[in-house]
Amino acid sequence: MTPVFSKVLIANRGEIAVRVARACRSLGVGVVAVHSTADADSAVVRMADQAVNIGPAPSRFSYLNIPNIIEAALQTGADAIHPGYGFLSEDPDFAEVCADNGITFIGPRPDVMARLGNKASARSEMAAAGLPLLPGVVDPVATADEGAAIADDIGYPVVIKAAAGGGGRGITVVRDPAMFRQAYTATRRTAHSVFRDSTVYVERYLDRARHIEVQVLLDEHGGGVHLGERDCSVQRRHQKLVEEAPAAGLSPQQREEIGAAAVRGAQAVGYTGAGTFEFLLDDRGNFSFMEVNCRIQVEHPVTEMVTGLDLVREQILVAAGRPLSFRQEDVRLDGAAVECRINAEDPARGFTPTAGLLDVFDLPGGPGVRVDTGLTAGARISPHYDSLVAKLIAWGPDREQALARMRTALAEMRVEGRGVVTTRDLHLQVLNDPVFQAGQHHTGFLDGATALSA
Amino acid sequence: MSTNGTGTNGTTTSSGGTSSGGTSTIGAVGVGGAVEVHHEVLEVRQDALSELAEQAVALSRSLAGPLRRIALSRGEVTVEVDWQEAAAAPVAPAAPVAAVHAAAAPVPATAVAAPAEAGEAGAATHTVRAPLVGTFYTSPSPEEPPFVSTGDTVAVGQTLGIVEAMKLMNTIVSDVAGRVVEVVAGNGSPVEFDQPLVRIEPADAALAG
Repeated sequence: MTPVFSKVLIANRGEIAVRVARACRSLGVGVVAVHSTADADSAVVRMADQAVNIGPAPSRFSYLNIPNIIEAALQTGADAIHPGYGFLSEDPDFAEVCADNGITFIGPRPDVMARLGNKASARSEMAAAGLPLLPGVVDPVATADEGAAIADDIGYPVVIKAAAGGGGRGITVVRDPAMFRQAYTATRRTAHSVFRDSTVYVERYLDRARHIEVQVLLDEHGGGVHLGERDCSVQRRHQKLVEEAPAAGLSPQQREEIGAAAVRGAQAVGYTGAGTFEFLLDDRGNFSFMEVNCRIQVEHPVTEMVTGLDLVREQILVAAGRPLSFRQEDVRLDGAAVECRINAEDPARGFTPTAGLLDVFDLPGGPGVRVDTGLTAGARISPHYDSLVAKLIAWGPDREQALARMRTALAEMRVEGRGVVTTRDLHLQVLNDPVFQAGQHHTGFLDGATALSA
Repeated sequence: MSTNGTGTNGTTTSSGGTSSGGTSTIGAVGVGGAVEVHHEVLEVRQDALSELAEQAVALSRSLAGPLRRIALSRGEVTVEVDWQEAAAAPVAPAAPVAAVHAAAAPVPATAVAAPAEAGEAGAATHTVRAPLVGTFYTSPSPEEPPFVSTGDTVAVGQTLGIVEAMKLMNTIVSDVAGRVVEVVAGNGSPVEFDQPLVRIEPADAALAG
């Protein structure tokens, strides 16, 4: 196959930068790494054909520095930029600057990203496309009085969410109507200070819901498929820790229904590339749309394991204007996969990030085991960036075998260094929990589990 | 869409209003004048006007330097503020934005090179490094002589070269007085952040590094 791009610049760091570099290599596409001064010796820099230092350690001067990244692309002759996840991956302005400079942004169109990036406008787009929503309002709530009236109407508990929110911040659950005003003001304040946008909306809160998300992939020629779902219900403070595909206990009919809904929603807004539609599944089996993530996600490997596809490769091909090479009926889901995010965080101290030099970094292996990481022994876990050390992924012919392989892999893995504590042991606890093993867990599971073990 | 003219708002919006510098700033180094000074108020909804105004006033007071640009919108909201960095470098402060605009384009904005680490070319040498990614020029135009050559004596604030980035000319000035030992980066060559540009032997040996 002739190369789709001559060179792709990877505007990211860590494991996802390595992941993107691998996809580029498999397509015969050149790799340009950009890095901060702190990441000058990183894995992706060693893998790349060319590397450009784009600024000092703090992200806002390097990985978020649009002029330096664009200049690096122009200097090296990169004709496309892959943004990875986080950083500039969902910034429509960045996508537009890329286009202005003749560089292909590997992701959806900027206008689509802008409409879906705001949770309130995404809600109304998806309501119009006929997707089921939680009881609540489609429009942003302008005053505390209006919010309280909506909450009374839909019934408590409710959740107040920042429209621009992400990463688990700007979300407040309200159980007592007397607390609504206070929570409303506090959420607006958080939303303003964290996201520079105080817009909030109100919807019903589900206590025992599961977080189910659908991976979609659409080309520029009207082709679009879903690649099954992932269950990401094991969370702490609304951040995912364990993800699996497929979701345990979902019927083929439910899977088809939620998958088709996601593709319908994506097509309604002209979405292209890889994307994720997040839903809540309540204890009566009803799905409600939550939000769309316009990027490759941290947990994409579990979908790759059960479909056999390389999602980053597909992203690159679609961005180059190629039609998808398969249709919905060609997508086969095989076996089960689980991913554990090994973070350099101390669960005993409220998940405080830990940093330091990695003296020991022994990775597991064996049938169906995959490790995505940007670190090696001797590397430093930097306090400047997120705390993800490695993603451990295990595939098995069925869920039970996938979980058994993951338990073995977790036990084999050794991450040691002065001051370095990881979430590995917590993952072992989750994997050994009968509730999780039975697939009966929901989004409140981890809080309960930690409470029990404490 | 576009709520901003520069396409660099990611820096500003993520800075939380407390960090240093405007959108064209790299590290602790001011690259003044690269951002236009203008005022935009975008689709401010009537019912939100007072809240926005209040936030704008609070924001403008919390800045580390003079306000350069403020853009407000609501709904699909953006609040963007660009400000002049308060003199980060001990010498050669960033050129006032107004002065930049008074002259004809392309106008070199003023930049102070990133401080260097010691020892690369001997203990008595100070290295001026690229504060941003771009193309380095040793002279104002192909027809003109270079700003400095080996052996020249330079003063603090004296122009050493230009780094062109995103069609903007950023002047690189010396932050020490001394003698030019070497112009390391070639004319018209691409430079990355922190790349050595010029080595100077400081008049005051204590400033080497």
